[in-house]
Amino acid sequence: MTVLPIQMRGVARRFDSKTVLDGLDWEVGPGQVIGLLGRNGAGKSTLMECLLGLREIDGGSIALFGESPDALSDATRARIGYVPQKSDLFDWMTPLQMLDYFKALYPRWNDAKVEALLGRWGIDVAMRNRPIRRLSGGEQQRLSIIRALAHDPDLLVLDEPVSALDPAGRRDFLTELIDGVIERGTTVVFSTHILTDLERVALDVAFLKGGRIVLEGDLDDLLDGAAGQVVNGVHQPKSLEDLFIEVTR
Amino acid sequence: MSPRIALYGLLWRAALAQVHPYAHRIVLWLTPVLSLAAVVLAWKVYGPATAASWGANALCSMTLLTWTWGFLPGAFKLNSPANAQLTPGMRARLLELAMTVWMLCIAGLALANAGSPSDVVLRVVWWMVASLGMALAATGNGAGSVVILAIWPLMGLPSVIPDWAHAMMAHPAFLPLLAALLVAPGLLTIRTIFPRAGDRHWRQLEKRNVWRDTDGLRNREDGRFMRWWQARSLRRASGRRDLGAMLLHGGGPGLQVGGIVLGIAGLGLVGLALVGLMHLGDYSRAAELALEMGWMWSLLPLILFQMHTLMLANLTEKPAGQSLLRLAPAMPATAPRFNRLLASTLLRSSLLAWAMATVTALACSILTGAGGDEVLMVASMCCLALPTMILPLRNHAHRSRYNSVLQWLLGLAIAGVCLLVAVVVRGVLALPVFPIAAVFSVLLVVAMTARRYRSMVRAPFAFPAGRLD
Amino acid sequence: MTSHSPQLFSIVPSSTEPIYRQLVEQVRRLVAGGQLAPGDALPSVREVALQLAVNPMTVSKAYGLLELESVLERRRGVGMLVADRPRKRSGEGDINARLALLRPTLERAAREARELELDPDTVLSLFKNLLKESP
Repeated sequence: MTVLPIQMRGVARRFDSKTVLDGLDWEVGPGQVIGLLGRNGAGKSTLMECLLGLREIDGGSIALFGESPDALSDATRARIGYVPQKSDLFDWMTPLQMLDYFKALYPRWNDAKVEALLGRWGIDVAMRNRPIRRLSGGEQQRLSIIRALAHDPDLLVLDEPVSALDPAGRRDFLTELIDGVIERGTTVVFSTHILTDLERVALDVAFLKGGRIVLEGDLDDLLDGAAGQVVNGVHQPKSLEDLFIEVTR
Repeated sequence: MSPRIALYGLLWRAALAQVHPYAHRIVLWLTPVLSLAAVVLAWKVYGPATAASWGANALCSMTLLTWTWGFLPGAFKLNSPANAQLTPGMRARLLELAMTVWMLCIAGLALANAGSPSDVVLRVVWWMVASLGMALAATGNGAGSVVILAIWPLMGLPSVIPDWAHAMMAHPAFLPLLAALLVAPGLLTIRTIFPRAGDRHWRQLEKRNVWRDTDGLRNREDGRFMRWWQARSLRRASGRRDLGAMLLHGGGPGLQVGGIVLGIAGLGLVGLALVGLMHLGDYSRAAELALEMGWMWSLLPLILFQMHTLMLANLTEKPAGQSLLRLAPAMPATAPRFNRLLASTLLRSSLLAWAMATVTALACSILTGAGGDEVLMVASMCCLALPTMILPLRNHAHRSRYNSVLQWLLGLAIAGVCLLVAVVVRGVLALPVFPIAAVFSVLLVVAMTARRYRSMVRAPFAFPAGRLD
Repeated sequence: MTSHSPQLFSIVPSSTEPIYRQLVEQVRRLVAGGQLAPGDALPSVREVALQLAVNPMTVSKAYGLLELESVLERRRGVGMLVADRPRKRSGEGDINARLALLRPTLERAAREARELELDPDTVLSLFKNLLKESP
């Protein structure tokens, strides 16, 4: 039996008096491409950060490839790629410095892919030697994605990875996602507000509301209104947007 | 109260609030208390006239310090390009407020010290220039540091001024004239501090110089040499997979000890060069001047050491993606091992900086001809500056309750405690004060370091995704 | 036997229909209309996925469904080919099947005509003119 990439049971997380995650159960199988949807402030970023062990949880258990996030082995960490929401990380380094820095921290690093992506995604030589804080928001985001893809991860967690990209950038990202990531059977979890992108690449969606995953299932089935869990009153939703509004109301 | 005055009050409070939420309240209580304490002390010791002078001095200097380190940085932040250009009258009000407070403080200080005229003139000039220099430095202008470094050793200057200049300065009209002359550069400086949108304003914002960010002496945009040096140290650390050094690189720019070591060494060399020049020029007072300047110059490396430890202590004030390092396979996986790596790296870095500062200070003193007593004094001062070394060893997962200024004061307080103990010991055992204080300081630091190291290793993971407030 | 390029397909991501269903319908229309002749090779899953920027598994699902319906057949080493089906050009069943494919579009046109308050004769003469126009 293959070990599940993500397994969360009863995860709880509170900020002062506000409960953000409340007894959340979630499982993601290998090779799944799942979109995480939820209102602003529903806790998608918190969920992803708790999932990867970047934030502490107040209750419950999480297993990433069978290991607890606060004691991940080197091998497991080498299989995980994360694109956080804020893309201006290490903004005093230049792109090349930042990529070299992470290259030293990861055992496997695909130089050819990095070079190809830098070229294809418009980060030219002049930009590569300027501090990251001087790049535009879209360029920073693209760089952040390249950094996460560079070590060929088996689990890719993306937190609104394309929010600052123009349509061409988003199309490039989707192409790379399909070409280099999904084709190799990588598990992908990503949250985005751009639903058309989600409809193209995600096979499953999960809705986060009230600190729990309230609806999860095959996107096509949900759109056909034939989901396993049908939320009260939702029959034949007109589009993913309508379904989103309906479920997260 | 006139709306203008109310607006000034609002701007003052808003500017101080940018620096620290309680700054205004602290200053409001501290200033009268300290002034009163100064008055009472002077009254008991000297008499009513001196008491008034001391009180006025205390009041004006506190206000001037608040103006430099509290109001100006905050006002600079308030004066964002959008506000400067679009909010009606705000920049003008800020300029007026800054100029008024500055001139009132300087006038107050001048009146309070109206004892010996010639002394006053020099001091007033020195205060005006120094305060302007500090103002520039506090708001991130590179010129500020230059002005301060230039004016620092000139405190020992009065003895050098020829007699005819003294006579001129004794003339009662001289001071007002000089003050009026210096108002113009003052106005110019203040206008530079508050630019009005445009490219220069954006460039200044980008620079984010070391003095200006009072919440953390980091995030500087360094000059070309420092950038090259940092790139080189980053390359070396990445190449050797030196995890401790890479952690520090991940924490922010300019935290590497190499930079500070270079800075200290540079200071030492500059000091020695100056002294050498003076000797070459066959200046009659060379030895005396060297001695006077020497000890002040030798304290500067210690200040750099303290700045370095303060930067390390506020390593994670501005989250900058260090949480990603938790997912990096090369870094330790569990929180205790990670914290141990961080703690030992921080400790090593601070110790190295302190060692360098001490060596430079001692070398400068010895080479400028200080005697055994002075060298011992310098060594004791170095040991008394050691307590700030414990500051970086804290629970980095939680937001620090004190900003960097308060942390520095904590370090000073520990040194003060050691001095007090040494005074007591002197009363009992008749041993010299400073060396005893130095010994106490070292012992205290060793004990506190061990304790804080252990508690840091037990703390939660030092680089969480969000501060565990 | 012609092989077709992936440009053959197009999808509307934000439409009411799931993407795989749009692909299935499109292939059915192309086969019924004759643009995809029996024995023609369809573009590979990967090519279509890259062209349309959709998940390869979505394309795979569409192809799989069409294979089940015997519209397409899988040939090892070659890929997906259009199945050989007895084509009766003017057969009743065939006509009905093709009309059924056109029905949804006509229903939409009829609804819009009603909303615009156009009378049926005007609409029909417009439709006749459009049909006479050759592309």
